[in-house]
Amino acid sequence: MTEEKKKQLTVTLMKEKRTVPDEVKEKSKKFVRMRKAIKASLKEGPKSIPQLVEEMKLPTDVVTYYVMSLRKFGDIAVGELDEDDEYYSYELPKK
Amino acid sequence: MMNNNMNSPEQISTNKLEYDVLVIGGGIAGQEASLNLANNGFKVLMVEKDLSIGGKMIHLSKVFPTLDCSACIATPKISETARNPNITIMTYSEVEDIKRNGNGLKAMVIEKPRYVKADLCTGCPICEEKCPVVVEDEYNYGLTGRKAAFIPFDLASPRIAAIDIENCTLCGACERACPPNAIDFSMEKKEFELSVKSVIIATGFELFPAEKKKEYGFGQFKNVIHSMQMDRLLAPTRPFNNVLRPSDGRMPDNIAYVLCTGSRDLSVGNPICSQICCMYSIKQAQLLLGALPMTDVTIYYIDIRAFGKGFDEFYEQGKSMGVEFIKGKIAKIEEKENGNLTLKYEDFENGGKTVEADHDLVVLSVGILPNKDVSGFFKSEPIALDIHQYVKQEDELMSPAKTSIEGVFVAGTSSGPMDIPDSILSAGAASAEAAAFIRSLK
Repeated sequence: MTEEKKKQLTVTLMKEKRTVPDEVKEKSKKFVRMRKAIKASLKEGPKSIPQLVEEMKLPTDVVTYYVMSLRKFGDIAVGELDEDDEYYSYELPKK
Repeated sequence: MMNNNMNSPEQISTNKLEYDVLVIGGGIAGQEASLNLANNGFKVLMVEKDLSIGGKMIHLSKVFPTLDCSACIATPKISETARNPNITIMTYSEVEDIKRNGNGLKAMVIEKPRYVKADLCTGCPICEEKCPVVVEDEYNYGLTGRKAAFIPFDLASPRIAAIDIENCTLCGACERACPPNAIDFSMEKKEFELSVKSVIIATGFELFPAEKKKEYGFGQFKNVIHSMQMDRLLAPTRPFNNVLRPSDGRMPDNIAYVLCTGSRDLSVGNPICSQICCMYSIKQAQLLLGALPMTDVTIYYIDIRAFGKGFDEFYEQGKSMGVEFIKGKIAKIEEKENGNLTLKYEDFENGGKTVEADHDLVVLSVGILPNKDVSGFFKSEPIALDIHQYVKQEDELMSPAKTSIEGVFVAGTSSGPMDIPDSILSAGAASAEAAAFIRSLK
């Protein structure tokens, strides 16, 4: 980005008018942490949600929410369904 | 956000707008009424409070009883509405203070800032990709997240990004990354003074808030969801990769439906039948048996009201496919350690005894409620509402769209619960009555 464009960023005007609430900053940090943790775990290979939960020691619904969100954003892909037809595995997208 | 090259406020030097008809609401009824009027030469301004037109129908999986793809019906109509030269669309805008103005009416229209320039945004996902904030996606009823810089949903019209300023960290990543420089945080709300000859109210309905039935545990038990969430799970643009439990991503194999959640229920202030819940539940049950062939689906009901064309056959089809129907009233839902749910119900067909049944996913078939926005449009001359708070139809048999205010007509579920075909019929009546009214002014 050029210096000229940096100076023209309209977000600087909004920063003068608004303060970002702590809750919003926390949401951003949480998402970045979760994305890193899930993607780092999936580097080892495809995993199901219970396997991720076991590793991350977080509530299953929280992990499910972020796995589904990351799938929607294209950060992770869907793998195979297990032989009991219960859980899908999730993996990093193939490049 | 203006979505028409005709009469765009950006192209008008003053903030005064003049149209034949103001249509409030861009759902299926608003689109039908607008198209009927526009195709007869009337200039229409459609004002939609959301970021996209399409209403609730655009988010559904299929429609009953034909099982046609909902989006396949809705999208061509949305496209036709957006392209009609006689229709101007303002999204993310609200109407205030409609009042008499000689023979016609005037109103204020407030366009909220989207912080994205409509004429520059190409609808690419780059701002979304760069945004570091995730909040609950309202278009998927909280089942997944969305970014603070976001395209509202896949089939949004207009397909223009928006910045959710309340949840924005002001990091500027979206603005730095946007190829056509469409992000503009300096945008402010705009006010327009509107003159029209007639108004059509097509604001649709609100879903019954399922958390009001505390005994069913919605919001507390992750595997208790409501029927619009299930419709999203079944839609081609679904939030998950299949129908899965929100608690742990497992495929459910024993699903229960609880009919009349928030309908025919004085305890929550809604004594009337919502008219659509029996059929959409049977629709979803049939779709579930197709999507998850090993799954059992049980529908707990008080009465099945299959009153429309082809509805009873649709009900019979559900039974023949293997959907189990139990006539019983659910008293309480409890959660087990593994996320499964125990339903305690009064079994009407077995002497009213209390029975317990276990399921691994429960869908609350929520009813519909009147849209409370309507009263806010008419502060100077209040519009009459019926005893259930829907817009009162002054002459239901002879002039079904007529309201208590001359020149103001009602379409679709703003006047009461009804399904999609009836909403379209109602919008037809509203547009015909509005056209006749305008012609009578000449």
